[in-house]
Amino acid sequence: VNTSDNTEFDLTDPDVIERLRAGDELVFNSLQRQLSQPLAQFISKRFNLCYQDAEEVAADVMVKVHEQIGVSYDPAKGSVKAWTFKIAINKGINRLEHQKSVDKKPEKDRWRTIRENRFKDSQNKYRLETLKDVFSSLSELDQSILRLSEIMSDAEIAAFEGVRIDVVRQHRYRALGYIDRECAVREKEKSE
Amino acid sequence: MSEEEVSKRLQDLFRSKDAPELTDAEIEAFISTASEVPPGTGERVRAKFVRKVLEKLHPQPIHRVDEPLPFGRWLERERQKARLSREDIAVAVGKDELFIARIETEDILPWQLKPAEAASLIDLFRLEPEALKQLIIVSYAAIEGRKDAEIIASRSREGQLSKKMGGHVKQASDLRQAPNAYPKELSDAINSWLNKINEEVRR
Repeated sequence: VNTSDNTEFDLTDPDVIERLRAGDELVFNSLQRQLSQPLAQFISKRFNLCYQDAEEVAADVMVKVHEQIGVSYDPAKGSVKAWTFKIAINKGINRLEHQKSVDKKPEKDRWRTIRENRFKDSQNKYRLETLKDVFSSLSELDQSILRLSEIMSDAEIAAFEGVRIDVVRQHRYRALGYIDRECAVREKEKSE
Repeated sequence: MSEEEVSKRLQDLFRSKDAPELTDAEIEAFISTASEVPPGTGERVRAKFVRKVLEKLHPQPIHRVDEPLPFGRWLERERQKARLSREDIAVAVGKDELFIARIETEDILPWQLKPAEAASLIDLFRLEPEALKQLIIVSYAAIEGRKDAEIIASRSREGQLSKKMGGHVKQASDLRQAPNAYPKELSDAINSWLNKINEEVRR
């Protein structure tokens, strides 16, 4: 009986990726060992889910990776880890949307609610687009600090960026202030 | 807007389809620091993954097995159909890979499994009691056939031939026996084992 030896494969190695895409079980097992736990933690932090729910979503992510790795994943477009985390974000969003639809109580005036929600949705969409635009105008460091603030502690971010903790906090404070002012200006311009 | 409000809006952005993507370096940094998780998180994710894959393969519980195979061989075939490894199944039932390999090759006979072990496997593979019984009857027939073959082998060539069959010979012999399997009377011990499993699954 041959059993695998729990060797961890380098998921950035193109040969390993080819084996993964061809359905090599040993490599997929290694991917699972390397990513199952971080994925659950990422989903829990990013979407504020309890661990039980986050593990469920992480398992859905793994199912998708298992099904699609040989079909939809294109190594030219990014690493397999980045692709997996992107799936995690989409699955997390679906989970939140599903949760919202389950939590929704029946409304008395259904059509009025639908109209109001549509208005709110369009407003939110505009706000999100503005915010995305403003966010992308921040420096690389500020963007990175804000992206990581959702999922890592200040000390961890500081170690990753190679700066002191107070520098991380200072950058975040300034970046948030800039976003606030810039969004206000753009929204005012739109309303005028 | 207060800092809290801006953070809230950023959170909405990060939880939307327009979320700015994490870079490879950021993902690596996160993975290397991801440690504050409840114990067993990774294993639970993998176990859930296996269950979901097998549920996709068999959306409905299996009441009848169309192609009769010995229990272990059937598990192996279904696992391969689902493109799962023995390690996956082992993680899902909280055992080691070698244990799964020995069940698949019937080095461990189905009725040698503890009812709780068998129950976790048949629950994972979505087998209903009647389908399990079908497989056990085939396993039983295969074992009986194998015993006969071993007796013949030991008599031939004046014992020069090994009494023990190799894995591939055993597999071929089991598969040859499988279509001939008919509802034999299972021994009382096996019937009682099946009842215990049913109780375990119901629990």
